[in-house]
Amino acid sequence: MNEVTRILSDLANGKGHAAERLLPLVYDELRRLAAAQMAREKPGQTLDATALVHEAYLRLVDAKPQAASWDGRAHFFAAAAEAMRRILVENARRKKRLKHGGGRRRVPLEDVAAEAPPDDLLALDEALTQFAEEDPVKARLVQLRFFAGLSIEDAAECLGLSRATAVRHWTYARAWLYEKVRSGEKDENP
Amino acid sequence: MSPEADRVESIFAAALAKTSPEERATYLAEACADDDALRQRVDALLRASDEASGASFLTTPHTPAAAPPSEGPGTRIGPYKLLQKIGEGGMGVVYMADQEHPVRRRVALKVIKPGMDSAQVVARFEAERQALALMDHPNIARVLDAGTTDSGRPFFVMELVKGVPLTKFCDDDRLTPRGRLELFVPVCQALQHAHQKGIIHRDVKPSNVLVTLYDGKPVPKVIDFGVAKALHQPLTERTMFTAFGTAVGTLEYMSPEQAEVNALDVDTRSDVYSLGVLLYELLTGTTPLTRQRLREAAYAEVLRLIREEEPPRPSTRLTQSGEELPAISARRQTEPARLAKLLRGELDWIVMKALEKDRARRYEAASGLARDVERYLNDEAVEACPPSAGYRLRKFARKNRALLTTATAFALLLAVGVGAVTWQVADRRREREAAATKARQALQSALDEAEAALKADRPADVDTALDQADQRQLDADAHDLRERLASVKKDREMVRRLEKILEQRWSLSAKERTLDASGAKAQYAEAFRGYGLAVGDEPAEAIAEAVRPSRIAGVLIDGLGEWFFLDPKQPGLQTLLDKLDPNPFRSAVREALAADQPDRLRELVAKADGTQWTPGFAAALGLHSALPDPERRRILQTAWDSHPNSFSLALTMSLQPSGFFASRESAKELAGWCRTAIALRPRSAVAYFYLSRALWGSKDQDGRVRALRKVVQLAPEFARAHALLGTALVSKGDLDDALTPLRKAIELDPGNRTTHSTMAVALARKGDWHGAAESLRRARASLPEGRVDTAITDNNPDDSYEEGFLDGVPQILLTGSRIPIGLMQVGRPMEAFRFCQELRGLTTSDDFVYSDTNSYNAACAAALASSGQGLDAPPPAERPAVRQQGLKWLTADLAAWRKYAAADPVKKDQITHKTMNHWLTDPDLTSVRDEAELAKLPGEERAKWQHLWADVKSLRERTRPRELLPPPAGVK
Repeated sequence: MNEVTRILSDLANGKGHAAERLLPLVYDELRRLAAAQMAREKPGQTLDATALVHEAYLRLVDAKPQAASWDGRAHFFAAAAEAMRRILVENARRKKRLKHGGGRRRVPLEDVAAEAPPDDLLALDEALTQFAEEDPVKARLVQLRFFAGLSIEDAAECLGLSRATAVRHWTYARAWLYEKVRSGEKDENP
Repeated sequence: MSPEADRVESIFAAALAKTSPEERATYLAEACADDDALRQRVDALLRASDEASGASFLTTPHTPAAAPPSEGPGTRIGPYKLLQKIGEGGMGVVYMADQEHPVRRRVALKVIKPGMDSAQVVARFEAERQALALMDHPNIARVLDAGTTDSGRPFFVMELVKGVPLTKFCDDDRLTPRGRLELFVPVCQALQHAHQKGIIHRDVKPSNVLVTLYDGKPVPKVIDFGVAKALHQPLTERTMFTAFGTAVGTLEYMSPEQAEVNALDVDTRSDVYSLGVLLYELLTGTTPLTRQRLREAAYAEVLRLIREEEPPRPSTRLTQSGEELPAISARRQTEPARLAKLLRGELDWIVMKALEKDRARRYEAASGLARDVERYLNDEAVEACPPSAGYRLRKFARKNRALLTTATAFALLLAVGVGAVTWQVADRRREREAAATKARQALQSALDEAEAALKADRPADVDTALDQADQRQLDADAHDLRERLASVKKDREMVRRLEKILEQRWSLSAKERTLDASGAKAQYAEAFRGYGLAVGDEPAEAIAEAVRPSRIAGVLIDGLGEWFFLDPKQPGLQTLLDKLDPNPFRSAVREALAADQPDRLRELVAKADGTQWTPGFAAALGLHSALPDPERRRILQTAWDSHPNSFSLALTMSLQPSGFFASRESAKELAGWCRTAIALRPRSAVAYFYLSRALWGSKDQDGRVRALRKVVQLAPEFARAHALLGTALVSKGDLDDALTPLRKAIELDPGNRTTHSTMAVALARKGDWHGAAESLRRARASLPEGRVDTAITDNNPDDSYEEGFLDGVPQILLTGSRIPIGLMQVGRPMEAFRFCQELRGLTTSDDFVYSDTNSYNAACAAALASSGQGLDAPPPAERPAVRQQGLKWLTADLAAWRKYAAADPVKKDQITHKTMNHWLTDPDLTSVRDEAELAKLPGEERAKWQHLWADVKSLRERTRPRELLPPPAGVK
């Protein structure tokens, strides 16, 4: 009956197609949760992605045991990470547009501020897109960790990697992205 | 991954594994050999890696939560789910928590801190709980429950008091002394109640008296009986404790007996003393022993001061407060001189009686103090009296025992004591005789005050003075005074009326303002006519003659000006204003407006300097659409520089569109202007409304909610404010709190779809599917042509801001698609069916996610309802139609799945296959799938169902994966 549970259980053995059907649902739920959470946060606190994603999971997925197979969860988190990324990037874009005086005059309601400065996030998003072309697995690892707040162990399991490999990937990905973001900054502000 | 990238990565990883810089350098030189580009790339990455970990790159802002503390937001204790921490004392932590059963409500949960659960602390904690449980008073937070956590630490649950400390509330709200006293009385009564139950609070101070709004009325609640002590019997066997010699309580509010080294002898009068300190602070802004003083003195000295030092009377303290005085007075909406005068006499006596060092001379009970304050408020003679000469002598004797012999002292006492009694009797009689004269004088001075305040545009002071005037009984022949009173009231009323027109316009969105212009014009015309100024009918000069000498001439001229800006062509208005306001510049501007010459207007304004603006004129022009933003800002800023006390300027500043650009700084600036406006006019709903708007995108959501609460308190009929308050609370997740304002908003403005959808969201999140469906239905009933897609285009950005829509219109769809599922889960498939029927008719979107899931869910609902399942099964006669509708939906969904599978056979087959499998096994559909069930249906319909299921099976077979992938490693 529940669409997410259905998609997940349907996909228990499938690979890779989950996000496209799951994403819109997870996206909407996360966006709502994020707005609620960001509105609640005190200044200086950060968005707790883990809690958000976890809550979205509880809300969207039936607690029936057969639905909660690990494979289903992996799909869910992949979708959640992607959704989270879109939410934040979208917010950052809008914020940037507003800052430059474009778009409309008044602040749209969803634009509840509690995240990184828009430029940082947009730069990261761009770098991550490039990185995904070069190395999709590591890019997914970053996405799971940074946007869905998964621990290195959980992210490793989602991607079918050993912990050691995941740590190695993570270190490399972080350096790669940092280097990219920094050199981008330098280009813009000589 | 390209071979090249691969190589970079493996060298990078190997280099990182080297522990010393030397090793690393050697390795890199060797691994990269002559490949400079490679070496540069690896170096850059290594540097980035170092810097990235230094800069916590990718660890913020999306940090995975750290290991949770033993308790914290999110933890469950019994049926309670902890939300945020709201207080922390030495031994315990107080959380806001949600109780989930047997009732859903928000509570305060106090739990002993980990590591603090010593026997002593547990005893004290237990004592507090028992003490609270004994009491039942509207001004005391009630205990609802108690227990121990999984780790064995005790906790108890109290009514959640969402309030601010008494003194802060009074200052923030700029309560007058009278308002403060009115709030103080119930605090005394609460403590009286505790005293009657045998409980002494022992730590009465502002932060333990929280003021919260119930139905817009401030209600003080006494909290934290944390150091309370039972009077008659020990509340626990292990008497609670304050380690020997350590004073418990907060020094500023501590009674002399509590400051004794062995403070065992403490009774209810100790709380009376603390109440006295509280009252002292409410009136003067400082405690008798100031914080400053307490900070400077050593602990033993502090205790001595508490025991021995006579504090100055409140009125004396006030006059000594020097440069603080204007601020203190402003927070009490009273002129400095009047404030001191107000305190002198009765209030001084009441406070000083509560603050007696010798408790036998204090009020016997908290109720005595309350009664005396009430007597003062009712203009009755108070019980407290000035310390008599005899008393002062006694004090002198006590302090200088060595100098006086006992005998001399006794003789003196006796003589003076008799005299004092006689004097008091005579005084009572004289008092009665003087009452009439006193009333007249009081009225006269209240009227003087009111007139002065009217002229100075201090409306709050006018009201205070008029209140006082109204309380005076007038004798029959006081015609002159009565007339004067009526005339002042009429002026006040006019000020209020003009203000209201303006506020009403200010509270509208730009779009609505345009629509409303004609209404406002009529309101102005009517207001002035009602006041006796028939603009356009009478000659301008005659009207000008009437306006000039008025007490409120300034306000009238501003009002006429506002009206003119709305309607420059109103007959007679321009001439009248030219007479009343004969400034050549402003006349020229008016001319340009009346003649509809925007170019001329811009030209004039560009040349203007600060001296030519009046606040009203500048404020009106600052909103004029013919001028560009920067120009308007400049006008307002220039005008503000020379009129820094103008409410309308401050408010208009906060309306400047440039302020709405999303930069944090300008939002802050905006909020600043609003706060300035509030400081100038603390009762202005619109100023709070703007503040709530300014805070809207900020992190200070609590501040935003507070501002909105203030708006609804001040303007209870303002539907939009109720709606926004509800929306803000929903956004914060305070679902229960959100319902009241949302209901109120709907009551006031039943056709507002935004409010209905916000309500639907709130109810859906609470699990009230039925209510959510109902709200959503109402929301849609008000949509243009009842269509969601129209609403999406209709939802212009300006409106969505203005209306504070939670999440845009798609929310309707999303909530809509979840509601049928919720309804089925609560056993109401028929309602789900009806809902789907509406929802399906409403959306033309062929977005797969929405249409697919809705069709399937709708078909499930139809199957369940038509087979008589659930709590709301339709009568048998209606069932075939429901079932047939289900058939249509399922058929449509099947078509969608076919299309979906066809779009990408390789990728999508498995999903489709699984889905069809689900269809063939879903118990919800049994009644329309089982052969035995289908056999009961009429032949034609049966054939259709059979046909459908054959198609489902064939699609399942067609999409059957050739070989299922083996389950991935790690799956159980």
